Amino acid sequence: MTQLKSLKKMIKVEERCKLLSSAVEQSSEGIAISDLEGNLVFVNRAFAAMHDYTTEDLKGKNIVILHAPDQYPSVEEANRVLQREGVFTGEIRHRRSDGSSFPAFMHNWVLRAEDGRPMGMIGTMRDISDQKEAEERLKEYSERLEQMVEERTNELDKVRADLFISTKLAAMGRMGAGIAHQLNSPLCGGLLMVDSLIEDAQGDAKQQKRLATLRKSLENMRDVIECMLTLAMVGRRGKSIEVDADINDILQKILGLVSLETQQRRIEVRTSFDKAVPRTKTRLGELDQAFLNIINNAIDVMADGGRLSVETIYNDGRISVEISDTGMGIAPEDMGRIFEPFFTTSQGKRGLGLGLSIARDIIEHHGGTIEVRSELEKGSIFIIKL
Amino acid sequence: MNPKRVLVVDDEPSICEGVVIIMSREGYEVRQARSGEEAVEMATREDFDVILMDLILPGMDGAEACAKIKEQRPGVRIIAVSGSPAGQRVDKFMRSGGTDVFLYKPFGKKELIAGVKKALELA
Repeated sequence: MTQLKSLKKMIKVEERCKLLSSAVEQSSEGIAISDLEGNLVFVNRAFAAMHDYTTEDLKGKNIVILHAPDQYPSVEEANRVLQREGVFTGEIRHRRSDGSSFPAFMHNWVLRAEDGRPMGMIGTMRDISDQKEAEERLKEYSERLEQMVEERTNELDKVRADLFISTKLAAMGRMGAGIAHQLNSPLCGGLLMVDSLIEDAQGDAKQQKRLATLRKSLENMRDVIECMLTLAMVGRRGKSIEVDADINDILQKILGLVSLETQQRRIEVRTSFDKAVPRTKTRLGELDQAFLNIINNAIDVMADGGRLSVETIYNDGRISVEISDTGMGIAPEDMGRIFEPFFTTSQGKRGLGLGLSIARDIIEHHGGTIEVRSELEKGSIFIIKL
Repeated sequence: MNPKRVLVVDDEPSICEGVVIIMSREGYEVRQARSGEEAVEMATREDFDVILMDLILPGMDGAEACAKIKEQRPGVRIIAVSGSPAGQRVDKFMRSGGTDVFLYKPFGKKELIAGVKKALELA
């Protein structure tokens, strides 16, 4: 080879060296080369800067200074993989010059000479702090989103259940109202006929007893029909008639209606009507129904006698009606459900378990409130404010 | 004294029969009609003291029948019989000048007698 040719070759090689050198120096990936013991032979600017050092600081230092003691186990593991497979790729935490640590994504491999003999280690790394933070936030959002979806789903389920019940009630109400109206006529005929038969049975105790039973069953039918019709009425807000009514009168009328029952069950009836209670705007028949339902409820729980108290108080512009019984009371776990439609705690209760829920609907539609207080074995008191 | 005359108007046969039996025993003279048209015809022909009118009838409804009867017999007392307090028919009836004696189905002997007595008191 002539001197010129070898000179040209040298220049080419030198240029190539300069090019590669610049590439490595200026790379934004951290690049470091160490010997097999981990002593740093070369670090580029990015690598040093990532750790908050200058390239001078790191010359000759061992890579162990780039890690905090608690990071050693993961570094040792990475080294084991490197020795076993010749390559390691993964996340390792590194330590900066000020002691703070950061997560890095590394790609390390064994640097070999042309004959395959390992010469040292080379690694590229990237500070992935930002990336990790973004991952964390994403995870947080994802979890929060899942939680929100679950909450919304639960809410929706509840709304759907409520809707189902109310449409079921509305449909039942409409259907029931039609049937109930049609049942009223033959039932009325039945009652009249039974009454005339009872007249005929004067002097025949056995016959009278049977006819009394028959009348009772017709009255039960009447009560169920009444429930259904009120249910339908409650649904058809716009069609009721408004009248001024005396609440004391209504209560007295209702007590009159149930006087036979209270006598038969040996229930003592105590009343206290505040004369100051003024006439109030009501929808015809509805408060009658509400009070009837509550009083019937009280009578139902005192099958073997007790005391039914009905009291009205006019105070501060508000009318309070208190209806109390001395029944077995309401269990704490049932208190929240007592006004639910179809909820019933007693056996043999007449109607469909709708009485109290209808009563509450009516009272609320009159702008009032109803609450119940109860003590097991002592009794319950329903407080209505209008 | 002449017995009071009662007309019961209902398309339900058992109600008519029940009212006839019970009120006859109480000393009233009772007739029955099954429709509004029949009621108007009978009330025009004969004099009644009290008419029990079911508001829901096939054909001419109770309220209309009441209005027609009152034209002919302004002095007759009318008891409106209805299934429930609320409803358009009650409204219509009240506007046509019916009495304010209401009987709600289903009623028994006690309510019937009390209702008729009340209607007569108003006369």
